[in-house]
Amino acid sequence: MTSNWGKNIVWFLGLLLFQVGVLANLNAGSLFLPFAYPLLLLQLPKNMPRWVLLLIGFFAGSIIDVFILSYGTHAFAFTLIAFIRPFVLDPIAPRDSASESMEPTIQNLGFQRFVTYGGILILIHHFFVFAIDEVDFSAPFHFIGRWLFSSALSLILMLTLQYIFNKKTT
Amino acid sequence: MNKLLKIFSRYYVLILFVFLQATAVVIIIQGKNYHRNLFISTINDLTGNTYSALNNYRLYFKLKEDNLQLAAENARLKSIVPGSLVPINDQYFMVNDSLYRQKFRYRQGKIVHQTTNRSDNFLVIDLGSKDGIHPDMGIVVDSAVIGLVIEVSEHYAKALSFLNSKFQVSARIKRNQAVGILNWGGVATNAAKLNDLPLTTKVFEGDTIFTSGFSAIFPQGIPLGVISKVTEDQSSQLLDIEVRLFEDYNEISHVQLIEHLDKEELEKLMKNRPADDE
Repeated sequence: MTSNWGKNIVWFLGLLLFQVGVLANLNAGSLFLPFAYPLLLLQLPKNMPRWVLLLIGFFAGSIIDVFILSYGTHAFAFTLIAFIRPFVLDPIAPRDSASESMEPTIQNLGFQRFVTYGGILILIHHFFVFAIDEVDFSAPFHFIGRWLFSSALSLILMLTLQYIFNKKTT
Repeated sequence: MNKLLKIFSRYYVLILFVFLQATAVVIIIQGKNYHRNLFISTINDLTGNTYSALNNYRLYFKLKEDNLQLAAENARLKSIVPGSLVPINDQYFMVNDSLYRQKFRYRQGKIVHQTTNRSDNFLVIDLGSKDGIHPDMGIVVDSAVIGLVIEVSEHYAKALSFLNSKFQVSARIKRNQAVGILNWGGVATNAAKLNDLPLTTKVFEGDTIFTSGFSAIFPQGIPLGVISKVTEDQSSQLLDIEVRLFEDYNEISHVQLIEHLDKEELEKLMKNRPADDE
């Protein structure tokens, strides 16, 4: 368990650095604003108590907010998907006792299941991040385009990061 | 009491969730009124240093453009200085002249972090309270208004970007001296909108606009952009004017911070008016 905490802290610092150092400087137009840090929450063990998930969501989101000057936006969206995560993961994850402490990564869940699970949560997360930022909804198509394109790019980034850094464990 | 505990133990996840979300909403609302941040200061030396370190690498990719930009600026400045520039120290320059009095003082700064793709963008400059920076100082480059300092820590300053729905600057059309309000329309990083001009104003595509100097923040005469499209809005009886800016905000890394030396005097004078326009 301790090594798990250590591992997740390294993941978070890495994702934070990636977000602030690389993704924040990515000028790929206003339709592509990916966020890779939600991966931290996605791959926490399945039997993690829900109140721990919520606190991790809130504090990790707040740290991101402080660094990218977004005032509570990411704290809100990240806590929200921390709350929703069990409802999405439980029906998708395989049901056996050995998988209780399983980390829902692409290696453990399989491609299709992970994309469904991650996709739903990322769509919810990005929707609220962009909606809170929007001042008025004067350009709805721009908003929807930004939401869908950014979500897809975030998901691809997260899959790539997992293929690079995760080893298969059960 | 027992019952209350029972309810709590059953719904504690939901209660915690609602509590955290409520906190986040309060912070979001606080953030929207950027000058009323009661309990969160988003810029401090830790975040500033992080941006600074990352920015050191990023700047390497822009050395060529930066050098060209600085060289052009140097050339321009050399051609306009009077011969009597006296360096007081290596940071400030003052002109000793009995006919002119210095009204604005410029400081060279570097953007260490900025966003350009949100509706409300901010930037961080590598100068802070120790360098004499304080809130409400303007930030410009040669041909653009960049932003307004709203928060300072010891070594860094956070600023409202021009690319922010709350930022506006008074602008004057060169040809006919008409004055309107320029603000970012929220779309491209090199376009903006000029508002508040009545239908009777004669405005043409291609007109150049400058800052008007109608504020205690920006000096007059900074070129801003060229009018690219004019349409008449019959419902509001105002012109709808689109402006193509001279600078693309994505490309800027070196900026000048402006100190208005008469600011306090001016603001004191404005305050003495009867409060009829509150």
